[in-house]
Amino acid sequence: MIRLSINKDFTLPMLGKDVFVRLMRSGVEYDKVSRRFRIKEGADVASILAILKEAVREEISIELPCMICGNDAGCSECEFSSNCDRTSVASRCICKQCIKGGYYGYIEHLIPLFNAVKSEGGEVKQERRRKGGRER
Amino acid sequence: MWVERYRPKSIVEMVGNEDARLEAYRWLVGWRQGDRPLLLIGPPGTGKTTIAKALADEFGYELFELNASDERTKERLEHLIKPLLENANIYGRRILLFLDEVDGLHGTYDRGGLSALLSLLKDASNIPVIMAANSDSGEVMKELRKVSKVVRMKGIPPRLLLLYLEHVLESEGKSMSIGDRLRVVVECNGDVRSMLNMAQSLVGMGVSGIEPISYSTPIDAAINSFFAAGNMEEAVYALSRCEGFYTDPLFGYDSEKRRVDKLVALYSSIINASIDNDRMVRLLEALSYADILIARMNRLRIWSMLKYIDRIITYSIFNDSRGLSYSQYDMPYNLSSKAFNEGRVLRMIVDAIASRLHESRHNVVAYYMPYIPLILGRKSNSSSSSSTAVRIGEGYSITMDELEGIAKSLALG
Repeated sequence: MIRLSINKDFTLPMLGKDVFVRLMRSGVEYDKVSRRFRIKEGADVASILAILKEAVREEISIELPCMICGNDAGCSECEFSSNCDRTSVASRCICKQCIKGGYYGYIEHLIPLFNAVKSEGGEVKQERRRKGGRER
Repeated sequence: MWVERYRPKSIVEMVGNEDARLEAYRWLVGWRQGDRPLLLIGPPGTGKTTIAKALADEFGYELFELNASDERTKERLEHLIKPLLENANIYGRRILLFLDEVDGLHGTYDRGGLSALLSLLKDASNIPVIMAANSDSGEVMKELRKVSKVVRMKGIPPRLLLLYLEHVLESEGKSMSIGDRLRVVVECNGDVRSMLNMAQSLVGMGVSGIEPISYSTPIDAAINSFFAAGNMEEAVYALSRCEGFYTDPLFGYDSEKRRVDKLVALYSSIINASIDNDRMVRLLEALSYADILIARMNRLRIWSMLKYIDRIITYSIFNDSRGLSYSQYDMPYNLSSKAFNEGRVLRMIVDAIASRLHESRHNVVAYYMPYIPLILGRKSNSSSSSSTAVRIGEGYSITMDELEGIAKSLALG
């Protein structure tokens, strides 16, 4: 069985040009230097899975990353593993360790991410103003 | 309702779809005049409306919300949105326009609606616009994707749902067995709204984990329990079970469809029943009132009304519906073929007039059709009747046979 982690690099055996092109079209990125693949955010995971299954003729399981610690969320041992269609749910989950922090632990982790976007956005706006862009 | 009480006030408080939320946040933080609108695409209950509301709150915008699947003709869109765009700058108000369910905009049926929306989006470059859609397919979405910044949302993973459910239960001071929690999380299919509704009804009814899942009751059994109920409370409980989750796809997957299925099942049972006319009129009037309420509630997304629906139906039809049983209405063949033929002729006529007048079929049905039989019927039995009909026929490029079809089907010929 091949395990694919979303948002993490992985390697694949040589699968031929056709498969490579189909994977690229479905939202897989390839880094020529490290020769590793990565599933892009918002990619069509179901079709990537179908292409790979057909090409490698092996079971492939998707592993979601943990939103908080960044490690694998432990999908194969998850209590919901048989009921969770990992190709159709959002691309990040939470691991067994991090879920112990509860809802507020989860939010606390997100606050700095949103704050960073806010300050980064403010800088972009200032930059645009300097360049003379129209601003409300 | 928990759904409203625990609707996150800020975008950080939501669960799941973190990257999509960050993307939406980034879009509004960096927004400036002329930027593309944001198009949120994702299944129901993943937080599209919440994102729009939370962003408006956080950045001090006044949210102007429009359910695009209702207000969709060119005239309605222009009538509602244009003044908003023209006046936004005059009063110095910071307005965020939110167009919900844009995928409900029908490209051909509502002729002109899509082009009106696209042109309004172009004009709306002075205010941020967020659009939301459940489905990504179709001509409308293809056009909207071209002019928007697309952010896709997906169902919430079960573990995150569990995290949120536990937070809500703790805040409410309620408990639920671990079996029920897992079941609710699994059955809501990544939809937070369904999860909270299910959890609230489970907690409210005090259904324990030992009892077999109350939601899996087939609609016919639930409606029969409703008719057989000894008192109002039992009847309300039976009705609430109709809205559950069915493994049978016949009854639809989402709760909005199931709510309509429930009414259809009641309607079908009532019109098949051998009861006197007065009783049937009372029952059907009560049901039509409930139907209007449900449609308004769905259209305006007032989920706080949900808890009253079953009670309203029960209290209005309980006495008159005793002794009935579930029955599915099948139209007899002679009636159905007549209705089908008349419908076919009417559709042909509507198509001909719509194409000739460059109008939507909806407008033709609503505003033009009522006049045609009036014109035809005004001078019936006179020699000028047929010449009037011929003139109308020539004007709309439709044949006499088709015109006769209209008159016959509307019982005025």
